Amino acid sequence: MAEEGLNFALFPSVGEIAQRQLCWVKPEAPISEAARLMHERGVSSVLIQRAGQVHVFTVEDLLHFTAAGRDGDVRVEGASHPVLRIGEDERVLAALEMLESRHERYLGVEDGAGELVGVVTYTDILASIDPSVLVERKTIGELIARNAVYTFTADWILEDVLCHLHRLEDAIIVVEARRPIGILTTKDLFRLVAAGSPLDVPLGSVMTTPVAATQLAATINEVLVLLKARQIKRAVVVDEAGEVVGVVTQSQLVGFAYGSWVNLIKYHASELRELVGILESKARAYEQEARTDPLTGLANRRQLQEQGGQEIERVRRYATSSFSMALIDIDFFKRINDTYGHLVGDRVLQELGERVSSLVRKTDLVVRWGGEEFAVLLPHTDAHAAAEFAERLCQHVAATPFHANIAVTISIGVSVYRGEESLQALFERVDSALYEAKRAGRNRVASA
Amino acid sequence: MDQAVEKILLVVDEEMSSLKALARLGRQAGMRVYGFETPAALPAWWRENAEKCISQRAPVCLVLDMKSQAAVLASLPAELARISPIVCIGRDAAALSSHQRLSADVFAYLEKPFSLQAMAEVLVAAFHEQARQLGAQRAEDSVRQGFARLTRRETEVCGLVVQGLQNKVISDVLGITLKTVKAHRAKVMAKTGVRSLADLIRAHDIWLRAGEGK
Repeated sequence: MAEEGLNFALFPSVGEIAQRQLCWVKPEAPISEAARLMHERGVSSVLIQRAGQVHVFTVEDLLHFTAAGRDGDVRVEGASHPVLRIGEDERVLAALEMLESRHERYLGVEDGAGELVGVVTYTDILASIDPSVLVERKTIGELIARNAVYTFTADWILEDVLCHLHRLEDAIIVVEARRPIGILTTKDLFRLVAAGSPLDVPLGSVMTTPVAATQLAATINEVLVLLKARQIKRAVVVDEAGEVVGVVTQSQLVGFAYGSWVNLIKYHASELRELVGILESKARAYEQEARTDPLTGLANRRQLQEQGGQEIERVRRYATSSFSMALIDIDFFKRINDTYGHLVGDRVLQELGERVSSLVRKTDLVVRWGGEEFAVLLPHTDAHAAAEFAERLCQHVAATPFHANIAVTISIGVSVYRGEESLQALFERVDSALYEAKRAGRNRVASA
Repeated sequence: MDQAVEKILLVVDEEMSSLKALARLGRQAGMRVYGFETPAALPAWWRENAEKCISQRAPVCLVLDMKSQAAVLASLPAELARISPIVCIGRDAAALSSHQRLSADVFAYLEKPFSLQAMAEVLVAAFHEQARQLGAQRAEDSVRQGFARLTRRETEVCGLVVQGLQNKVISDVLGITLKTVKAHRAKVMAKTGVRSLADLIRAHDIWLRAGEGK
């Protein structure tokens, strides 16, 4: 499918990026030998078969071991640990999630038979993914990593801290036990100065409160939504304990997200077009589903309501010729169902739909009204022409046997729209005409 | 006591807000506050004022940004460094706490954002400590002066007295009469200015610790 192809382009499979030369060492080999091997082969990990399990010894393990000042003669098995495994057909995003959730950096890659065929590292995975694709996953924590923030307690005097408000986007966060309780922006200060307010007052008396705070783990998208909803320009970022760690501004966020989109479009234009195409065709299919009857493929009641409304509008506005409506019901349909079964019954419904459609003009609308009832909307048709059409239809159906030589007759109620009445009133009159045709012996037309 | 001498607060911090807030705080507490954005201006200030501070025994406290502490201490006259408490401030909590483990001669650490109230309390405690240091120094000075006036024989007698030996035993040990021992002992008490044996023992301890007993 096209969706598969799209996935391929943006996110390769683990198998595609795995290092396939596996470097094995004996469990009893000394660490110094493992280190030498890694250096010679230019790899960042070696594998060990240990008690029926594959273990890994990595560069990080080696550094950790060395930092602890331990002897290189120790057996490598003593410093190794079992390696997590992932199927080679998995997408790199799955691998990334696995590593991040387990705080690991190495994954063993296995084939369909569960055989270890390669190793993939955290670095390999990051290198394989275009950074712009990761925007959605990026959290605020990663964005504000280097942002200094000026915090003060509420008793500090405004005049003393003015020096930290230079640029328009600057802000001072007022805290209590490191938790944000208020904010003062350059704009707020401008307002105070412009109003000639005294500046030798505690921050607590001039700060804006409460403060919109966002968690470090929130995604950029979530924060943008929050800022928009509250109509504010910046959010204070807090950690798990609710303590201030920084501030993010809307412009920072938009700039970051927008920049990523620009890259995405630049480097993945064809994939995006493909994606948009898929979404559009899906949307069209949904739209179609909502407006048609699944059995006959005819329009449904909703369409009839819409178009009937438009016709009324047209008649009222332009005082043109009126339109008519015919309501068709299959005589003794229950008998057909009971005799031949529901599948044949459905077939009859489909066939009738086709026949009615073949006898109407392009501008007429044939609708499955429900059950064994059909309706036809006939624009620019007076009562006489409508009755004629209904008569022709009635005779045609009775004269031509249906599938499996089943004889089917129909009754039709028909009427013209009389100006000023509602669509509902027209429906009711046509319905009572149909009832009249039934009562008069079926296989006939009645007008109202 | 020298209550009339003004307390001096030196502040070094690159954040102007700290200088302003501490100047305000100090003013309210009747201190003379000097603020510096960088430690570079400090040596000149010492050249002009250190002499006076020392001679007047002026109480001096320092509030220093963690980053500038080393540079400030390098220029601080040793005589002041010994008795002037240092309050260390900073925004990086992690750096501050590791710094705290490393340097023992800092009186207190205050992590920003600290409340003005907290800073005021720390300063009161710091000047209190400063006064204690100053008092201790004065006591040591007078003890040292007193002991310096003792004769060799008086020093000998004093050394035995503080060991808890009775006059009779001392007279046997030194081969002098009981009367002479009593006379030396009275001289020792008078010259060191102490009133009881307990005071003498304490003063003798201070004198020993000051490194001049032997």
